[in-house]
Parts: sequence; C-alpha cells; structure tokens
Amino acid sequence: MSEHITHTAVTDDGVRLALHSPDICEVFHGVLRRNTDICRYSAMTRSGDQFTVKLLRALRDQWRNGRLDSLAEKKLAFLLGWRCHLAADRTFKPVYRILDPGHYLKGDDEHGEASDVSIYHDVVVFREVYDNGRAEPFTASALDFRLESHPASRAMPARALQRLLLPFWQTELLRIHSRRVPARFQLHRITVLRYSAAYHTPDPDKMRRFIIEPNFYNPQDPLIALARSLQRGKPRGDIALADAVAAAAKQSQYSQALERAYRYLLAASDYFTGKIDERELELRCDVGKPHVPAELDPGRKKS
Amino acid sequence: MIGRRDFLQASALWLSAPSASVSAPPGDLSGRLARLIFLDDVASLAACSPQVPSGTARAIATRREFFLAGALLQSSPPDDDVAAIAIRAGRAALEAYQPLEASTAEARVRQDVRLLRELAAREGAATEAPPRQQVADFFETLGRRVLIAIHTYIPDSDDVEGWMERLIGLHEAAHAYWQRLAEAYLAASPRRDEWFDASEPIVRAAAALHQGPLDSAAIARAISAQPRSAYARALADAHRRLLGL
Repeated sequence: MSEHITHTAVTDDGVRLALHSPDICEVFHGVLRRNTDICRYSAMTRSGDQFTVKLLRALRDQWRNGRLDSLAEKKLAFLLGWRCHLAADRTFKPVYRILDPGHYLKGDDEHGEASDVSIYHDVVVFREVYDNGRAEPFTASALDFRLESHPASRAMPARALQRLLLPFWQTELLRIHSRRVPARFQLHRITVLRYSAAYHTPDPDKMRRFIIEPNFYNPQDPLIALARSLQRGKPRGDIALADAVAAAAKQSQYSQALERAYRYLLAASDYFTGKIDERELELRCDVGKPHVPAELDPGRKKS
Repeated sequence: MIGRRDFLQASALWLSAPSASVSAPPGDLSGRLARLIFLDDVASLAACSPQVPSGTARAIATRREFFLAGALLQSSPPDDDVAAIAIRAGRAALEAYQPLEASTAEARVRQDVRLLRELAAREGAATEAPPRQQVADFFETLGRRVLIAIHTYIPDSDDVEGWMERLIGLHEAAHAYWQRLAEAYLAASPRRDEWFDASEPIVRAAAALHQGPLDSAAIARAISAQPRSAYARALADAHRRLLGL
C-alpha cells in the first residue's frame, strides 16, 4: 500500500501532465480542471480495478447520448483520480516489499501500520512536490507534531481536536455506506506522529536505504521537471511530454509512477472518445494484474 | 431542544440499519462535533469511574474508536467481544445525548462552537479569536491529517456509484461545515447557563480526566453531585446507562 501524500501527488502530477497533453480529450481537460480536488481524494480509494472500467463505460455512454451534467463530471473526475491511485500502488507496492521485506512477513498489509518506506516516501513527496506543505492541498503545519506552527494553533483546542477529528470522519464515512458492517469501518491505520518524526528528524540510514539508493525521486528527471514547471505555471518548453514519458521507465521510481498515471489517463481518454475498446483499455490500464509479483508476496508464496 | 419524534428520526440515522439501496446523503453536518465532544467526555469519565463495570470501562478505554464512532455499526467485529461492548456503550451514551441536541442547524453549530470554546479553555488556549480563514484552515489541516491516518477509502461494493456520490457530497459538506464553524467560532465564548456550566463537578471531572488521573473518591463525588445544566444531566444519564450494560 502506498500512502496518502504519494497517492495525492501522483494524481496531482498526473492531472497536470494530462492537462498539458494534446492527446488527452477536451472533455477530460474540462473535467480535470474543474474537479482537481475530487481527483485528490478519490486517489486514496482502494479496489479501483473492480469498478472503474464499468463506471467509465456508463459515463462514456451518458456523454455520447448528450452531455455530462455537473454530478457526472464529478464522478468522471473521481474515476480518473481512482485510476491514478492504482498507478501509485502498482509502482510502489513492490518497492516497499523489496526495501522492507520484514515488515510484510507479518502479512497484515491491509490492516496493520504502514512500512517506514512508505512514510519516508510521503515525507519526501511532501517536501519536493508540495514545497514543504506550501503548495495545495497541504499546509506547512500538516506534519507538525501538534499543529504547533499553525497560526490558529494558540487559540484553538488543538489537542482535543486531534483526538476528535478522526472519529468525526470515521462516523461520517460509515454513514455513507449502504451496509454498515465492521469491514467498512475505517480504522485508525497510521500514527501521524511517525510522519512528524520522519519529516522533522529523518533517520539518515532510512533516507539512504529507502530514498537515495533506490532513486525514489530525482527532480532532474524530465517528467518530474515538467510536472514541477506546470505546477509553477511556467511550463518547460524544452521538455517534450512524449519524450519525457518514454524516458521515465529507466528513471526514478516517482517518474515511473507518473508515467503509469499518465498512461492510464491517456488510455481512459482514448476509450472515452472511442479510439480503443474496453479490452484495450483494460490491457493498457493493467486491470486485473497483481499489484505485487508473487515472489514478493509472502501470503501468496505460502499458498 | 429536540422533540421525541425528532430524536427518534435522528437516532434512526445514528443507530439503526439503513436500507441496502438508499443511504442518506451527507447534507448538513452541524452538531456532529458537539455530539463527539460529549461522547469524548463520557469516555473519559466512564473509563475511570469506580462504578462502571470494569469490562465496560476497559472496552471504552481500549476500543475508543468503536465507542466514539462505531455506534452506527450493524454488527460487531467478529471475535472482538471488547469492541462489541464499546459499540453498545457508544449507543447508550448517544441516547443520553438526546435532550441536548438543538433542532435547527444554526443552533447546532452554536452548540458546536460553544463546546469548542470550552475545550480551548480547558487547554489554556489564547482567548482572542484568530481570523475566520485561519480557523477554517486549521480544520482543513486536521482533516488532511485524518486522511493520512485512515490511509485509504474502502468503497461500498454494494452500491459503488451511490457511494461515490455520497463521498463527494461528504467532502463538500465537510468543507462547508469547517467554514461555518470558523465563522461561528468568532462569536462564541465560554459561559455558564442552563445548557452548559463548566464549573459543575461532573463536567470538571470529565475535563480533568482527559489530562490525567483523579482519585476514585473524587470521581464518585463528582458523579453523584446534583447536575444543574443540560450537559451535566446528560453526562450523568450516560454514566447511569453504562452501569447496566
């Protein structure tokens, strides 16, 4: 499982590249431009392979028969962010297992705490993609220990609200389910203090093993450099998107995730406009392909 | 105050099994924080109360998220009897909240910020209110940290399209809620009245127990003191309901 900040960033950058691309259809351009916030949180949704193709088909049919209303546009944005979640997962899940195999021997990937690899990925992304929280949708105090640097912190009940906002959101998430069963109850999975510690006092050895040596993020990679320039509103004219995408497979892990996200969005666009059929869409989006190769999955190796 | 019929309708949303095909859209979230602040106070009191059966007290203390947020669950997690007790305790405490909740959204938001101000006073926070947008941003930042903590959204496989619509609605509703709370927070202040009085023994005990231990006799005295405000009565009522679980 890759984590919230990385999922959000791969989606944000995937959307930037899609908006920059003349190969992505105009409908998607409009939808993504108007609904980036929805893509950001749908990018933290699991089980995308089960649902996104079928739902995309329905929206495509609706578009062919008329136009997409505001709700349909929001749902389309949701699906596109959801596909980007899968791009991050397919890139990083194997990486976590290679770099921290002991963590996954416990076999509790779906319920337990996250590996340190994913947390170090997130804090590096927070620094590099979100400029230490100064770029949307994060804030500079997001990874504080107790929100102590937030300008409203002195006048707000910070301790109590940190205790209460999680059950607030858990309750509301449960409320929107048609069956309120324990499997749908969103448990507290990750202690944010682990993020604070990794961000404010990073362990040099973990930075070396999880970030530097595996080449997690290289700002010089053309795809990343292009995404950052788009984020700043000053697109690099010297970087051709097609070339940057083609080069990404041999570059940093984050570049590979962006390439995958862009590829999924392009495939969805081609399907939406009738250039490819559903079978081709599934192929290009890796639908049904395991996120983790069998040799890296202790659960499957045992069976 | 909310009437019995209104409460029964509201509690159906809080507590009972929804139909498989229709789940209420998120809509208005006013009053949700006040409700949680109350449950959180009940939890701090009950977990240390010498009168609450030890199994219940332990369940509230160790399965806090099921106590605070799990009352909507239609069943308990398998092989987790402690969580089951916490869920039952959460439901009982919510029932005690009935007389407290206002009937209009505006009044519920006032209750939210009234109790938020009380929490700020408990933490010794500065009394001057920050600008509205800073308060809203504070909630948004906390909300982002919650998303980190829960990791990924679990979709509703029985009604995935409806769930997507409801989740979109929930995010929009939460954003609007933070803005309304920020606006109202500026106008709110801690005060004593018949709805809430921070000086009452049971309220003071609940507040103190969030910070550290109290001796059992002091807790027992606080619980047995005659409550005057609606909030103190509801705390005492919730405590009483937990005795019989």
